[in-house]
Amino acid sequence: MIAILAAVRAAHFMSLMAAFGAGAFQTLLRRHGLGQAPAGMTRVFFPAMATLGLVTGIAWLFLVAGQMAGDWHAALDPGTLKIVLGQTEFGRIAVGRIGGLVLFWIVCAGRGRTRDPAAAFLAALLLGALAFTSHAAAAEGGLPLARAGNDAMHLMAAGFWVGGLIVLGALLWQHRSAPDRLIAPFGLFSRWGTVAVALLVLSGMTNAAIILPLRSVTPHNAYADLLAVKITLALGMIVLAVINRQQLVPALGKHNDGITRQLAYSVAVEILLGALVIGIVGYLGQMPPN
Amino acid sequence: MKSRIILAAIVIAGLGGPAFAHAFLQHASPAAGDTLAAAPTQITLPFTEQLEPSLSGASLTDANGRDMSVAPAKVEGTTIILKPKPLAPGDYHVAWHAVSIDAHRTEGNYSFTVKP
Repeated sequence: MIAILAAVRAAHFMSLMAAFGAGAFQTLLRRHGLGQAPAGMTRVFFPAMATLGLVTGIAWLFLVAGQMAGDWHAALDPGTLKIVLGQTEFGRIAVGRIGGLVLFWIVCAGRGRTRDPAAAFLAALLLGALAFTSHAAAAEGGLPLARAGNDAMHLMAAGFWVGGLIVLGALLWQHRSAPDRLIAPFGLFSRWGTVAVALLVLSGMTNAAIILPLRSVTPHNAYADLLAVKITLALGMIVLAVINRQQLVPALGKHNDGITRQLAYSVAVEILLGALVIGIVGYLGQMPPN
Repeated sequence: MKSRIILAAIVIAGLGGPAFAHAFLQHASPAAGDTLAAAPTQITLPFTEQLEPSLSGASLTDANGRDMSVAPAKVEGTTIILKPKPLAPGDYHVAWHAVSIDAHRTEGNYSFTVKP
């Protein structure tokens, strides 16, 4: 059951982070007049992410109710659910979040110009609310709002990166025979991506300092080991991003079809690594850090 | 620029400190394995995190498994408090379960003895 809970948690993070990043980057592209991902793709992508977010959000609540009660059968027990929803911090936030997820679904099902920024805004709020039930928010010490805010910033920075890459992947497919049209969108993503990665690293280091004080790290600390795997995968993403920015994107202007293909592979691998990182985040949230 | 870096370092340092993120028992009173000359009037179980009062609790039983608490355990912030009935000499067993505000559950148990 813990594995299912971790998988549901990861899928929930993935749906909101991808929608946030894609919505935010689409908004930036429109503002700079640099085109959009194919409408056929976004008409499927946003409702799919919203549906995944809503389904996993509800499943997560039931599973956490079972976890809190110490009995997985209690996940469907009305009495336990009433206590969890009405008398616990997680339950109170979950009630608000499920309302928000329904609104998010309605927004994502729309097709107007406001869909992308509205989806990004709502996904950001929903990710931010998650931070208030995180390890960082629950840890001892002062400034709980600052700790939750830092966690929310970490989720949003990572979401911008992964969701933006999904939009870039769609643009690569759309303009596969016109590489010139990819230069400006990739340049825009590089600029904002650099800010996102900087925020990601800073907030990640702060999170680690909050959750995992050095004195609690022991040679057999599974949490720290898994965190190290997560950081290694994230570093792999950074290396690919640097290669894209320094070598592949500048070569796009030379009309080299091979470069477009390399860039597509690189973006696909970056997205895959991002999905693995988020999968690990699903597990880390279930593990005691010390 | 230098002052901004110093400010950021102070903020990050201020965010740190003791952190556990699952509620672990710190130091129970009476403690595990204690042999007491006098019966305790209160069992105090302090934890490392804020607890969810509605889903956290503890029980006290004697060697025959009889409930020896006068009322359900009270949860105050990070601490579970249990008031025992007058305890005769013998072995007693404390079982606790704690749900932290980040929704994680921990549980445990221990024993202590009241001397004749």
